Amino acid sequence: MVIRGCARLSVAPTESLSEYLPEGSAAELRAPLLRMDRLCGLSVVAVARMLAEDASLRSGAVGDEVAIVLGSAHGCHKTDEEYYRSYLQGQPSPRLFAYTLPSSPIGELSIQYRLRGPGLTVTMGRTSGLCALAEADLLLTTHQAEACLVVAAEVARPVLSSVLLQDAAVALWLTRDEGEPASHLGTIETVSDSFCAGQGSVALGRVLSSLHRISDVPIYCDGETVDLGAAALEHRTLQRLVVPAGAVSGLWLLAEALHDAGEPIVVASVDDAGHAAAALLVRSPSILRGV
Amino acid sequence: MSGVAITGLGALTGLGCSASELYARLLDGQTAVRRLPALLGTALDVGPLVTVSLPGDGNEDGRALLSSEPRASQFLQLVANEALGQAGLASSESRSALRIGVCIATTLGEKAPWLTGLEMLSRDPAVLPELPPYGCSLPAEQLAAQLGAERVRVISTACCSSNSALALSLHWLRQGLCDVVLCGGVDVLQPFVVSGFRLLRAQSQEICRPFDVRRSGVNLGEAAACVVLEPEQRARERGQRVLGRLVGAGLSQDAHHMTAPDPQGRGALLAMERALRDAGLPVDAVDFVSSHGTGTPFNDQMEARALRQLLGERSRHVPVNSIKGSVGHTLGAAGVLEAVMAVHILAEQRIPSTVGLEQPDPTFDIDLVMGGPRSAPVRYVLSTASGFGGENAAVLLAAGDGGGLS
Repeated sequence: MVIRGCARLSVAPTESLSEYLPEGSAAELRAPLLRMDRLCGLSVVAVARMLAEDASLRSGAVGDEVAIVLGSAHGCHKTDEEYYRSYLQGQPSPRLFAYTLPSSPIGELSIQYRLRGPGLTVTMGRTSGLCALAEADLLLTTHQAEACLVVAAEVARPVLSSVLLQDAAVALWLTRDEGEPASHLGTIETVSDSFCAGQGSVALGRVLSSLHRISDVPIYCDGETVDLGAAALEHRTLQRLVVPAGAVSGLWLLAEALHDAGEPIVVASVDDAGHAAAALLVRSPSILRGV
Repeated sequence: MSGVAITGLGALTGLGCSASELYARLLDGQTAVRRLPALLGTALDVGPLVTVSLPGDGNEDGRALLSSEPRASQFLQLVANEALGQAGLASSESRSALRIGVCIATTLGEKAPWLTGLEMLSRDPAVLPELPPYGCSLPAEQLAAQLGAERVRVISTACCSSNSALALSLHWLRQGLCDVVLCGGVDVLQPFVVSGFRLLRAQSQEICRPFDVRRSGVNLGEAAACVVLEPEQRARERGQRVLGRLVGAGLSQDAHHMTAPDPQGRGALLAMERALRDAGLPVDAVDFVSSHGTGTPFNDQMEARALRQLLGERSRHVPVNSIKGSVGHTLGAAGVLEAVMAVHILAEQRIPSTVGLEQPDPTFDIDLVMGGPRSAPVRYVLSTASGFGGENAAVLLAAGDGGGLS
């Protein structure tokens, strides 16, 4: 699986998303953005920024053959909360209810970019982003799609202040690795994940052992992953980074790693509850530009 | 492409607490759709609904909907137990050497405690230090922990979540990522979703009438369903009977509208065509269609168009049914529930009728099963689903070892 495009976005919960729209798409996306909930808005803006960075991404892809996979730990909880408050106050909002599904962003992305390939939404805590990558890999490997848009997005709320402090999204554009020399940002060789109730470090150890040829490979992980997986990560080169939380963390780490690595890397993540872990091996990463 | 064996079934619906009970009552033309006495005169008296009543829970009148008790995990556990028992995987010893995958579809998960917390906070912000967990993945995580599963996913693609989960499970097994997959769907009615469907004017005020000229919306329902999937060779080695087979799956998106399907049914048609291509089957192989058939004006029109385009001239001769008038629209559980029914149909060669359908919309021109069950030779079943956001998922099921299941 080849990473052809990447964009990330971190926004204060009170900031307007339209400020983050790239110049080329601001006019056409500004109005739809007003209609969407925050989770959809983050996803759409992240994708718009990625496509603005490299317009050639879509040139070889037919909309019917492009899949969209979303990973989100907390999904549409903000919209759920706002809708339910409107219901409790006796004035339920149909506009809000229409966005009370975690899969809403893939619907909006499908509409905005005319994509009719498979759509999936994965919810698996902090590992949701990397799990979404694993399912994207499956869609590409099994030729259900020719390209795949993978998005991780999280919306912060005061009730989640211990977990999420900022809104964030990461978008990736992926295709099969067919060995062509065309420019790409990196090649994901393997994505692996595991679940072990109450034993995130065990799950992480299991995942890392399933990745071959990584004895000297730097492992990028966030603070929480290091804490939970210290035993599994012993003796390995760690790049411990502070990244946005939730499902975004794994893909953000990946973007960060691509940014400064020129050698094979592993990106690892363990979920907040400490049950699930996921990791991926990237070989021949390029230096990312401007992400 | 190769299919995978279905070796266990579980279902919990308003029509009963087992898969065989569900099928028997569907054949009998029964419906669980009704106005729930506990809701009469309340803001949730939105029309007929379907609730699940477990022995001794006192929920015959639908009072659970008012109490917002967490029930999704319990529902999922019950259907998992039924399916695992039938598949010979009830004991931890029988599962110890297997790499188990758990793939659960849901739109709501175990959201009730979170919603109750929100309600308490709205009355008095000081009453709770923090909200309970959001709960979307809770039922799946509890089940996975109990089974020692290594690969776990919660799939939420609106009302086609279940078929999406079946598709994913099929590919996991084909790729050798798991030895056995427990694929399920669960959704429990809550004020949250009931009020929303009313707002969108999608809830019918009478029993829903799929494909009928008078169709006016859905009857929301709650349910859970599970299937055990494994490579056919492994099932043979374990001495398990193959009840049916999952042989193909296709997913698509409409790229049309967030709450209305593409009226031409292009997205649904794409999913059906992809399922057939994935199975390596010609369209002529389809002997029966288990439709999404929600009873909304838009869905049924779109689906009939897609089926006509897919089947061509055969659309007048391939039987189509919908069970939404019997068990309601069970959201994230619908696809796996219909797969459970399909496996029974493939084994028994009898198709339940479409309860609620009396006057088929003459513009549809498809062969709707109505007025009673129909006996027909069925080798392959196409099961379809579509949801908000324009998500579509279709799966193809084939017969197993033969012989009845009831």
